Amino acid sequence: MRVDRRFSPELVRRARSGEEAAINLLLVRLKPVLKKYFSRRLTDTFSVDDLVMNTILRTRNGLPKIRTAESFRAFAFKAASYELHDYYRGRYSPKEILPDPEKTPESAAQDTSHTVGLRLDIERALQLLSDRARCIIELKLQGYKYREIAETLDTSEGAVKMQVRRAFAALRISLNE
Amino acid sequence: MRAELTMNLEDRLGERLTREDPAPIDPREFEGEPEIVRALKVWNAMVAQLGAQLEESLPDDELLVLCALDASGHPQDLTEEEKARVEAARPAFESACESHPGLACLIANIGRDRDEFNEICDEAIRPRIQRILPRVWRIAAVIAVVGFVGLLAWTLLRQHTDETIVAVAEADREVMELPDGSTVHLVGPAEIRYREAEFDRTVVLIGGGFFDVIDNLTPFVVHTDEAIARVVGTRFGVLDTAGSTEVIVESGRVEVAPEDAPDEGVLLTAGQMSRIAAGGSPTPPEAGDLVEALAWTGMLFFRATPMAEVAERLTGRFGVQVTVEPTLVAEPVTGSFATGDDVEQILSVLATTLNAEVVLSESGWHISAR
Repeated sequence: MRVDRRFSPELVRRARSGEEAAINLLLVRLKPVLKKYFSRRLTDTFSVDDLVMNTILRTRNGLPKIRTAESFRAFAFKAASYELHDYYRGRYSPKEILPDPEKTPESAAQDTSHTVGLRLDIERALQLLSDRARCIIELKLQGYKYREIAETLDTSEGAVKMQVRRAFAALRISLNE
Repeated sequence: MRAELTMNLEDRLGERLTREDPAPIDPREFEGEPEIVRALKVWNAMVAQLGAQLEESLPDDELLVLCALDASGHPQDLTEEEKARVEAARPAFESACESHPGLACLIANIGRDRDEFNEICDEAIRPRIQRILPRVWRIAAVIAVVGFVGLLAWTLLRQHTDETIVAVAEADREVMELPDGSTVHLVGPAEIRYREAEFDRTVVLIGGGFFDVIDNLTPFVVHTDEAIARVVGTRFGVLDTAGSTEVIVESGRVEVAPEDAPDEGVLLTAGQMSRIAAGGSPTPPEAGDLVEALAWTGMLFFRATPMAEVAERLTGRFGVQVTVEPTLVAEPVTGSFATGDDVEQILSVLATTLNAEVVLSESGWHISAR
């Protein structure tokens, strides 16, 4: 059985019981792990530091909830992963939708009359979309950068962007037919 | 000319489609190109619809991670309560995975992240306590090494470029000598790292350490996650806790700067302290109560402390009565004592400094003028 030297069950047990020195050592040992983990994903050091601090706080607050001393690693990873996905999702927060100054009431009414046509076009666009292109768009919507999507799909950033361009080109051709 | 214009338009469109911010593209940017405008309107609407569907199908961040760990073959990482949450969400989650290929990528990603996190956890933390050997044994050891395996040892030393890591468990203390003769008094939980073979007077500290640095033209540098403390010859404490580092100077001068901005430091002199939070700047130097600020070291610090107060603190620390002759009670004392020093050692140093003598009687220790 593997011995966890960094987060030994004894240390975790003492931390869970509220012993300040043990909590401190546990978090001091967790910090470089988190820093490395987040630094491999994000290049912005401020964001990395924020995520490290948030995860440490989440871990500290959650210590009493850890059922077994052996599960500390899994607990810390979950905390880090929650924080990372929360960060991704908030990365491109939706912009405030302002009224279009160029849109007159007449053109708005015209838009409504086009709704049915637009729906059909959207259906067509979705059918044209390859699984890979759809995956890219969905990851983008989840806040991933193209570089991160490329890493996830084990390809280059250029190839990912090319997929998006091709998907749009296919849509253009289809709409012109 | 027309071909060049077309090329520019396509390039611009391509750049616009692949900007990092996934906000909708304003079709008016391509006014005069009705075919592109129409396609962009459909594209925007399609992306918005995908986003809405995804948001509706995706569980919250916590449940997403739990479902992903389960789906990527790591259900053992879940508590019973979490397993129950995953079970309850399973039908909706599986349906979402079928509809959204991006979700399958996220799951695979979280599974890989989990393995990488464990690999980082397993990376070397090699606790090794290096005790200061008495000088005679050190000399003997050196002679033995030089005599028997000199060349081999030299070769190994040259090859051994790995860091030395000394870890001290919580509640433990360790005084250790660094290769340049400086000493550090580690207060557990703490870790210090440095290159033994090619020591460049640079160490990395986690936790608390009190440094007694020997004079040398090469600056002595202590790195923590947040701060850099740079000195020539001095005595100072560095307390690195999760999220901030505090530097307290007993004697000499120390320059303290953020780890990521070495030029934005403040200069601390004896009796001053500064604190750096993660990503922040050092607080301006402030004079503090040295005794209180360095209490975590467990060492005894006196800074122009009247002898009467010194006696009182020694009494409190060692549980023995220490008294001082009235002519000496106001005498100021400056100095520090390691935790390993006993009361007799400390009193004899004080007596030498004050030109006094120490007498042990049934009622305790008494210091009187010679």
